[in-house]
Amino acid sequence: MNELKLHQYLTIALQPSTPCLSINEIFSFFQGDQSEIERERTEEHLLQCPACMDTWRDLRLFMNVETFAKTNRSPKTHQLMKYLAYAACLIMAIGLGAAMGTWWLAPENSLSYSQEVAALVELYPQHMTFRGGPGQLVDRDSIHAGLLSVVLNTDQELPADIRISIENTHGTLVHKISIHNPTTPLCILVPVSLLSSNESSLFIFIHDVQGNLIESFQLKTTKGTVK
Amino acid sequence: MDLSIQPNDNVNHAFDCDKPSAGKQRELFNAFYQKHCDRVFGFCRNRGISTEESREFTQDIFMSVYINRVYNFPENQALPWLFTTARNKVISYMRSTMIRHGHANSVQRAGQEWHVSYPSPDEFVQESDRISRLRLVIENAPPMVRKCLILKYFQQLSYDEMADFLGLSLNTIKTHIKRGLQLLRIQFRDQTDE
Repeated sequence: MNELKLHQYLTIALQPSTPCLSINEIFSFFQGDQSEIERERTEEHLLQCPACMDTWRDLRLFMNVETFAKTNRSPKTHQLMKYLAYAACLIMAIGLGAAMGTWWLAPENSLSYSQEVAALVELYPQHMTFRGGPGQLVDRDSIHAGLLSVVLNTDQELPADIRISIENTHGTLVHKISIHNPTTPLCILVPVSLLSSNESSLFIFIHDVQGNLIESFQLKTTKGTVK
Repeated sequence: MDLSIQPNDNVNHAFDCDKPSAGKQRELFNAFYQKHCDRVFGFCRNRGISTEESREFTQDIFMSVYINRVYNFPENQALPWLFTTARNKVISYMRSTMIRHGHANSVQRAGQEWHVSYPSPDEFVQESDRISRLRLVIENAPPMVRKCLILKYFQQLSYDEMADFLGLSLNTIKTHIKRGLQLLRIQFRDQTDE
C-alpha cells in the first residue's frame, strides 16, 4: 500500500463527527489557552477535519514571525548578501595579510632589544676574511632565550632601506627582516626556532629594496641541537 | 432654576471620558502596526504573493484595522481578527488569480475527467474490507501512534508541523510513525505486493 492509497483510505475511514471549529477555538488551541477537555476535543476534530487543519496550518504560519525573515529575502537580497559575504571575506583576507606582512616586515620583531640574548656572533663578508674568516662557529648549546644575536660588519654603503634574508643550507628562506636607515655594524636577532635541528650553517644576505644583493655572510654552527 | 441633568449630556460626557484622544488612538494604532505588520506581510509572502502585492495587502488590512479600531481589542481577539482578514484576502486573491489564469486549463481537465474508471463489485468489496481493517488498526493503535499516522498520511503535515501540533520532538514523531507503519505492515502483510 503506497502513501497515496493510504491517504485515500484514510480520507474515507476518517470522517469528522463534530462540527467545524471557529477561528477563536483554533486560536485558543494554538495558544494553549484551552482546558484539558477542550484541548482533547479540538485536537480530535483537527485530526479528522482537513479544512480546520488547513486553518491551523495557516495560523501557525501567521503566528510564526520568523517566517517573515525567511520570505522577505528576495533573490536580489540573496545575491546582495552573497556579494557582501564575499566582500567581508576579501576585507578579512586583506586585513590578515596586512597584519601578517606588518609583523613579518617589522624590524622590531627581529631587532628586539632583549637583554636575555646569550649568544653574540660577529660576522664578516667574504672579502673581509682577513678580519676573522668567512663565518663564525657558534655553539648551539650557548643559545638561550631562543634568539641568536648576530652582528654584521660591512664596508659597503647601505641604502636607506634594506632587506635582510636568512637562508638555510638548502637555500630555503627561513627569516626575513626589513630595516630602515641602517647603521653599520648591523645587529639582528635570529629566532633559532626557525632553524631545523640538523642545520649546520646559515646564509645571511643583505639586499636593497630593488632586490640587488649588497652583501652576503655565512654563519656556521658546531652542534646539532638547537634549544 | 433647573438642576436636572439632560440624559444626552450625560451619555456624551461618559463617552468622552472613555474615548481616548486622537493622539492616543494614533499611538495605539502605530504600536499595533509595528507589532504585527511583519506577521501579515510574511504571511502573504509565504502564500506565494509577490512582495509588491504583499505590501499592498498589508496596507489594506491595516486600513481595515484602523477603520474598525481593532487595535483597541485585546490581543486574543485582535490576532484572530487580523489572521482571518489576512487569510480571506489571500484566498480571494488566489481564487481570482486561478480564475484569471486557470480557466482554460480547467476546461481541458474537465474533458479528461470524464474517463474515470470505477471499480468492479469485487474490487469494491475488497476496497471496503481494506478500509475497515485500516480503521480498525488506526482505532486500536496507541494514541500517539494513531495521531502521528493520521497527521502524516491523512493531513499530510510536515514533521515540523507535527512537532508543533503534538508538542513532541522530531525523533519521537519519527519513532511513532515507524511503529505505526509496522502495525500496518503486520495487518496488511498479505497485500504487500500492492
